[in-house]
Amino acid sequence: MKKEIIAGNRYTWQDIVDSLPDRWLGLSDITWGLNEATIESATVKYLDKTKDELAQLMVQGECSPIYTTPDNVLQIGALI
Amino acid sequence: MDDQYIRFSIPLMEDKNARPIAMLPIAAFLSAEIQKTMDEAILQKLMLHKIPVLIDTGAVIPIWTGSKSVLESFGAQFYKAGVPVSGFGGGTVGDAYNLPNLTIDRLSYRDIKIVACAELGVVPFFMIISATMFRGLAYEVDIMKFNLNIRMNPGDSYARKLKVFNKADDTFTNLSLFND
Repeated sequence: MKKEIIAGNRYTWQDIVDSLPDRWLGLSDITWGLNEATIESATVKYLDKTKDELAQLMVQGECSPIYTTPDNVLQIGALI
Repeated sequence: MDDQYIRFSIPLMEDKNARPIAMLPIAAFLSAEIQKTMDEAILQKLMLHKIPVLIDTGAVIPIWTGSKSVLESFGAQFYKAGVPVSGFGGGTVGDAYNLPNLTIDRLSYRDIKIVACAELGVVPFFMIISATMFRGLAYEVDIMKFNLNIRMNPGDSYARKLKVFNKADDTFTNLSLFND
């Protein structure tokens, strides 16, 4: 079930993925789950920024940029 | 943790399989010059942030998939325009940049070259980490424990140099910019 995601509030990663697929988000106060790459919960700080805007905010220490559903963008080989 | 290994965690996919996308500390990208000018509190905060990168064991050169302005804000300097790159998905051109200081966990790279290709469509990561960055080291993707393991043997230096060679004569026009 989709939950309304409001900037500034804290959610589980599952709620974030279910409600905002295929989006770049800026997260803060991340709680890691199984390992240091698997998010359990986080505060959704930025909802409406581009990948590069989020990267600039990251440089300023404001957030961690992350794409919600990388599994929807299947990588079968990268341009190198 | 066993000291002879550098380990990066790999996030799980929804079906519980691991994918070769790792989360690396973003402070790795900041040049020494930028770090000097930054407030210590902000720097400490940055150390907590990580960015998603794709570990590509078939890749020859590292690729930046974000905008050039972001790469420049990490301290990268323009190096060469119109560098052709190709792979499974086709071909394109990008601009090569020099990163004065790149640190991935304990691995440190000075003056590493990276090609910026922002027109790759939707890519859920910022950088492709190429296998050549681990040249001379043994690495494995452990799908069972969701780790990328890089083995450091006695005598291996944490200061690494990215070198890309042609098998025949150790030179190659398009790769020469990566070999100082």
